[in-house]
Amino acid sequence: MSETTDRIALLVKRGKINKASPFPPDLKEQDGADEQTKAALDSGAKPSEILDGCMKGMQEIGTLFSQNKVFVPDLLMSAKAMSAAMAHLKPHFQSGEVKRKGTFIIGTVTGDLHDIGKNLVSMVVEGCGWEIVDLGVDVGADTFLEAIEQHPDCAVGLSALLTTTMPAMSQTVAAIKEKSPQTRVLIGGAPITREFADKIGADCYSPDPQGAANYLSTAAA
Amino acid sequence: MSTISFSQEFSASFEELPLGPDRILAAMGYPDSAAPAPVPELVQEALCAAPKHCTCRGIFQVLQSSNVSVGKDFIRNGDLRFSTGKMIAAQIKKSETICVFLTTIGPGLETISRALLHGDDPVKGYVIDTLASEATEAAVDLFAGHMLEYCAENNWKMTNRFSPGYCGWSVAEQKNLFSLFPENTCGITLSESCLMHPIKSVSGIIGLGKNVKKQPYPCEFCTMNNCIKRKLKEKGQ
Ligand code: B12
Repeated sequence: MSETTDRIALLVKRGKINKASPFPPDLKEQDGADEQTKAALDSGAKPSEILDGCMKGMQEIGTLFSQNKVFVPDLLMSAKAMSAAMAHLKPHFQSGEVKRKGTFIIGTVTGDLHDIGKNLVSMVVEGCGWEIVDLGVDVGADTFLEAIEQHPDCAVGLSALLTTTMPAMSQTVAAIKEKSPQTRVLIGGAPITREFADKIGADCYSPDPQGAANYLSTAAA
Repeated sequence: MSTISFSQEFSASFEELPLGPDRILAAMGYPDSAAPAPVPELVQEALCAAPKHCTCRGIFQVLQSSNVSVGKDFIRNGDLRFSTGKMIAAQIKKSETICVFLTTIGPGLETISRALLHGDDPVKGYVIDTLASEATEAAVDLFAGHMLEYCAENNWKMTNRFSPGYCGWSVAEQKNLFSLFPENTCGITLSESCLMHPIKSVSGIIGLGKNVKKQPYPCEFCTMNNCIKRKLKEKGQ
């Protein structure tokens, strides 16, 4: 790992967005992920070093989150710092100079409007190097199928927070597996269990975002 | 024939809720003022802003005791059966009747937090969302406290409150519960998938009677082992 990678990783993990941000207090008035990324790219760092830094930082904070050592606000602050760095990488993604690991389509299933959990999963998976297509909440099977058609090599994440919307999750998994058996489907949400995932034929259940990111890293490798 | 023997609507302002910063920080997971900046500041800010956007409303209806019976894993009100599961039925068993309730803090805070969560300040949005959830719980407890006065007149006490979706009682039974209230009571509606609108709403039942009591550790009734609240409680012990 280069020095640039390590610095970006630290800023992402600590949620230091930019110089103007007074948080965390011990990094006050120092450059954040925004300025550091720009400076690094200007002085010839490879975009992949920045991406590696984002991935390392998000992986560290995601792991601490799954261990209950940090909480949702910490994760959101890190995600914001990651976005500040990623914004500078946009042209490099477009030119193909640096590549994402794949596309991750995510949504909350029909009848369910919960989205904080889903958004956290998006952020951590994005930080793990994936492009995110967020379909929002109350998403029907057809909408997932259309999105899969546009991104044939994607993986899909489904979220549900009510037991009454778990049947919709089951139907969505069945519809995806029928039309596109090779697409990996990950599921999660407070009432979801591994047994339920096995029963409905989902490929992965994780109680937290990092578990999803780890699964995707291994599955894509 | 009405099966309701007593019905009372309540309203309260945000200021009346017993809700301080520690409770909100704890609900996010932070133990003993260990939250990093800017979280405590955002909690203070949200507590100051909340009163303008929050009107707590609730309805509590006591069912006619002659109509209510409790089985091993259900409670019956005439023809209406609540399949509550064994755990809740056991807690309600000694009650003379039950009180069914709905409570909401309205859509105000939810709208603000959603915009922030999807906009440029998700941390603030999440803080407001957590505050709103805790305010909803606090409003139920405040109104249930008011019901104690009614209970005292009858020499009754109250059990803990139980909600569809907890302790083995299916959230699909919200439909049965809602059948006991006029449509749109307190501005609360139920979707096909049993989601209440406004989102920051809670429904449930409470057992009333001379020989009932409140259990001090409600987590013990619950089977959800990976719940964040349980984990935090265990961690603190
Ligand atoms: C706060 C809360 C409330 C608040 C606000 C809820 C809200 N929607 O805004 C209030 C007090 C109002 C409330 C009310 C009710 N609630 Co409530 N509530 C909760 C609580 C404690 C936290 C939810 C939360 O915000 N979590 C934080 C987010 C970040 O977590 P998350 O969404 O679960 O996401 C995480 C993981 O699940 C995972 N994940 C999520 N999606 C995905 C997707 C993938 C692919 C992967 C890999 C991972 C993943 O990663 C996320 C980050 O770790 C949960 C219990 C719990 N501990 O989870 C119950 C819970 C959601 N509530 C529940 C219930 C039943 C209700 C009520 C129906 C009770 C009632 N009868 O009144 C009502 C319904 C309200 C309505 N509008 O209809 C149940 C739902 C399950 C069920 N039985 O159907 C839960 C799970 C509690 C329980 N019994 O176990 N609730």
